[in-house]
Amino acid sequence: MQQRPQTEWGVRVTLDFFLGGAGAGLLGTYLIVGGLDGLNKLSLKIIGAGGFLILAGLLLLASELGHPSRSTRSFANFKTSWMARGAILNVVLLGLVAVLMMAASLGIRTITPEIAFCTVICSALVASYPGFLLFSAKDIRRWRSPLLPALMFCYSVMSGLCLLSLADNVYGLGMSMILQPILPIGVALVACLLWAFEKGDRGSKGAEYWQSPKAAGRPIPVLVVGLGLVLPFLCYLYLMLFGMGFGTALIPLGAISFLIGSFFFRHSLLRSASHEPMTLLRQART
Amino acid sequence: MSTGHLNVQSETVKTCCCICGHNQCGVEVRLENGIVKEIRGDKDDPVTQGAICPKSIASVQLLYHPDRLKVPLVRVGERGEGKWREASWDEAITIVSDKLNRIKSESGAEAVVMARGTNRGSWIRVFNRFANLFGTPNWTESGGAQCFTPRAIAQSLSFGGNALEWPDFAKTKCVLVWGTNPPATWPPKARKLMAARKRGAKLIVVDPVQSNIAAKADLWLPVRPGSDVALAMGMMHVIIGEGLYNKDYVERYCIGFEDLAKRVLDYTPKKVAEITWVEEKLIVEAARLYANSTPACTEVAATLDEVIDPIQLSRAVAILGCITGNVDVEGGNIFPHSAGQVSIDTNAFIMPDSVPAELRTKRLGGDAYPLLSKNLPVNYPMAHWPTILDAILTGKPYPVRAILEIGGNPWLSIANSKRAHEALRKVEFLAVADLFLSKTAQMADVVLPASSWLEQNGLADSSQATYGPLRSRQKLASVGESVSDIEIMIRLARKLNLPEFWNSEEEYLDSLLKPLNVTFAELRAAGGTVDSPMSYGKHLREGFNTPSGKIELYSGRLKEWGYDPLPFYREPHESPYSTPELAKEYPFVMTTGRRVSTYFHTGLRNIPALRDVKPVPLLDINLSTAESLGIRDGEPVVVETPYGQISLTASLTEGIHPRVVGVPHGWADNSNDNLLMNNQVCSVGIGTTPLRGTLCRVRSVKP
Amino acid sequence: MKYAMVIDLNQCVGCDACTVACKLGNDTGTDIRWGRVITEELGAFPDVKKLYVPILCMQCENAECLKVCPTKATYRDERGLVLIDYDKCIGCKYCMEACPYMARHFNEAKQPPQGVPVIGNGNLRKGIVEKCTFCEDRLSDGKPPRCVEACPYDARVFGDLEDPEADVTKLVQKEKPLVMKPDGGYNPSVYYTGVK
Repeated sequence: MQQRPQTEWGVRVTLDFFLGGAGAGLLGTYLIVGGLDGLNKLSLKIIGAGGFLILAGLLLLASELGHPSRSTRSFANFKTSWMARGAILNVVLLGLVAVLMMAASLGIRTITPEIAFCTVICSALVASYPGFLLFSAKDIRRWRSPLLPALMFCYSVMSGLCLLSLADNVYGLGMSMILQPILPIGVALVACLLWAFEKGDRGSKGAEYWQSPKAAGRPIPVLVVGLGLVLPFLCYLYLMLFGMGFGTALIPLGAISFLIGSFFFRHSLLRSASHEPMTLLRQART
Repeated sequence: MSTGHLNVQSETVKTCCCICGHNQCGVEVRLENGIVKEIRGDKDDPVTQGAICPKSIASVQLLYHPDRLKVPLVRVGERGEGKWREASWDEAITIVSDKLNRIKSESGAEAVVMARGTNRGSWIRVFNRFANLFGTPNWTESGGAQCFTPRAIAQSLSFGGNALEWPDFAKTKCVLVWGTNPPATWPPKARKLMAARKRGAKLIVVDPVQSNIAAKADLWLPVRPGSDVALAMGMMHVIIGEGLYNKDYVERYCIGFEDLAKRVLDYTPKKVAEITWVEEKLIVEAARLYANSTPACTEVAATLDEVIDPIQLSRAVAILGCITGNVDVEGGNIFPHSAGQVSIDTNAFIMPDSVPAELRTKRLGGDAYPLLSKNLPVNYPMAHWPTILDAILTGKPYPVRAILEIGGNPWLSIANSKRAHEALRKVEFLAVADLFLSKTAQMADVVLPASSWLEQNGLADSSQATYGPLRSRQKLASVGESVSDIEIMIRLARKLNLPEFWNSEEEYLDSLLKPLNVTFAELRAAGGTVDSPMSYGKHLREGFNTPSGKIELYSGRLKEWGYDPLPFYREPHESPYSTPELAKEYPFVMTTGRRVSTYFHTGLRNIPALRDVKPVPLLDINLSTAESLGIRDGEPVVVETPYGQISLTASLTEGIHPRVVGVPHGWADNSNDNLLMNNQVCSVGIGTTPLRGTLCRVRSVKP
Repeated sequence: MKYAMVIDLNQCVGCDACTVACKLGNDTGTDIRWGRVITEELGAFPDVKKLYVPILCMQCENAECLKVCPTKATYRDERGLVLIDYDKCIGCKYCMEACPYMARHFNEAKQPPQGVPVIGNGNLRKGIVEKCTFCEDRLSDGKPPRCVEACPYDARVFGDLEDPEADVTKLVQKEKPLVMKPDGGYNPSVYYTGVK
């Protein structure tokens, strides 16, 4: 066994990264775009939705553990472990979500800047911590890009924005003016980062997987790039340039396709990762 | 003796393993409260010095395996249905002996075939005696013409004894390993070989696949399977042509050198390179290295027997050692010797004359394969399995009505499984002794539970690996009512009223030790070992056990019997050159039966620790070849011959020729390599079903 | 104390006696081999160099698994061994991602192939990650790990690197052995000689 794809983490980890990222992204972007000017009934729904996504992700992750009942031990090694840090961050964010939801349901209208600030920062960290977590696995070359946390962050923020645009469309939050230019720029930014990430991945087994989907037998790049980036970009570009028009269909189309792409990006990231070969003969000759 | 732990009686006993029966590695067995806990090599063993293999270590799991047969079973329902009832030993033995006696009186003893597996220590000769006393000429073994017998004959013809089995590693300067992989199958020899290598001895390995030992070689000759004789002749050509042979030795101890020299003229390195697919300069280098290293020894095993021309091959390899002066000398190949116990390898022991003379001539295979099945001065004649299958299925030359199978698994282990299955289903009576319900046992009418090496007393006197000192084995455990194979035969012999058989295993062992004036119990109490120093040069001084008293490079006997008295190369019956049309459809040259350290023939796939190391049967295939076929490492493949097809898992390696593949043996169901083999074309004179050097094709089975 | 092992690859023939001795002695379940033997090939037929390489937990001085374990189940003791407290492990498998030597194994109490029974107590460790411990249960009795004892070709030497008289210490100083993946800065405690 010289080199083998990682098989330890499966779809539940992917889902945790995806749901957690989307939820955190939704929370953060809602607080920023929606302004910190006040909580209302809708805030309850949206913040609640964000919290629900994060919680769902955590529960799925816990079910992947060998001993889910011991999950609370996970905070112990925050000094060096990004998984411990991530656990703490997720719990803290859920706590902030609870506080905000309680405030909203009690009719409190304003959020203190401190709490809002904390929530935004915490969301940003929850959105990007999987990137740091994967980056810390030193032997998996595909994850050793410093772009990875940034890419995770942007994907999560963008996922959040997509969800926000859906909420805006459904509930009429009045955010469409701000969202319209941000959405295509966001997708383009994610696409650029992804491109840079792939360019930077030289020679890892994962790159090979990504670049020859036939060898890997999976249509992942089509889903991630075609469905997940090109299609939403076109949808949002249209919306930005031509306004709503028949745009009511394009909003969910763009959002859902990006979200699918976002999920499959994380899925492919885990699937295409490989431990580096163990070699002594080659070592001895260099 | 207790350890510091509470109430745990811990003891360590020295004994000899017999999981493969050939090596008899000295081991230390640790027991706690009488339960075997751990097995490890005994570094103080005078012969094996701590050598051990995974199978021995995992024997704890064999001993206490939940599927071990604990009582005799008698079939109810249809053959192969899997319905059994438990029976007492007395009932089971009575059923078997009554049936065998009845068949004997109705159709003659020759209608009963007594079959066994491979060598497991001295009971294989007890088995011979048993079969002879019963009166059947038809004893056989799964190995038989494919294992040891051909090369034993070749060695006997050449220098009157089995020197090829006994390389003197301790003093050698060069080891020529031909078609064997000691790290997988002969740990004590491998240990000595590696020690010799560490001291500076050179290592030459002839093997189509870069095996464990080939990976350590100074020179690896990846010979095309089936073309080994040409390689040996090519090496002889260089050695004789360049005057590298030992002139003094040849003059004093060998006859037929001039004829040999003439014979090898044709085998130029260039021609041999074309035939064998080994680079010309490598052939020359290997020949020179071997001949210039004094002394040099040769290490061989069953591969020499499994080809279409086993006697030629063994003769050729043996002759290499003869012309270089390496037989019966220190550091070369020496002759087996014993500590003085009664030898089991004698006619006096196995009593072949107990079979009436007219029955001996009726031995199945005798006419077509006299070297195997006729009484000759150089063999223990046995029946020919393919001929037995024919007799069962066609009734010609006469019907075979019963098979008593002890420790063998012909359902899987003999060539042409399709035919074997038909015959085993059809035969009127089948009784099997085994530790588990093997595939063959599942077809039986009566199954007798046999015990493992940890449950047996015995002498470690395998003539192939004991370098002198006689060692012994002690019974340390007991599983259900299972008993040793010798005990099974004792019980059957008693019921069959066979004269001159022992009454107990203890009596048998004591009888072997009689010349040493010690009983088995006394031997164990005194440490279990009887010393026996190495000896060299006896035959150089007193003459070899051949008609001329010399080493017969030219074998008068072979000529007398109608065979070529000198080795020669003939293209295998199925090859890219002899059957080019067939080779178009089946482009790969296949070698089957490659050994791994975790399994022994068809056994041990159900031992958890061993199965975990080698969970699936692997096909050795060249990396580039696999790529061109769209096969990746670890993927399922199908290997096909004109006779059948099997499923394997691809294992890619650069250590094999792009047109050669390696197939393992001993796996069941649709990975059984004997489904690929034909048993209708057998070696001239000896009847070997060729298992190495046939044609096949390979394809991926990915969707 | 700093236990270390030196493996002579000139002697290792890939017989797997060590793999099986480890399985038997440490009672590991299906598809879990704390110690195993891998092969490395260099070149193309017929000029192939092939090496058999025993792999086990390298007991790294700068262990990645220790850093990433969220619960501190993985710890280092005073003998220089990296050990796992099975009661703390939550089975998140992050350590398996981080380990450069794929030396850690998640116990999912896998069922063996058909016809093979489950023997032993390996499945009792279901749900956690386990690995080679240099047979730490034997060290206080002065016995080396089982793989060292089992090797029929004396390929392994084991001892305390802080003991200047120990064979391992002399070998490491004299032979300048290689380690697997030296550029990672893991500082493994398993060394390899005889790599040519």
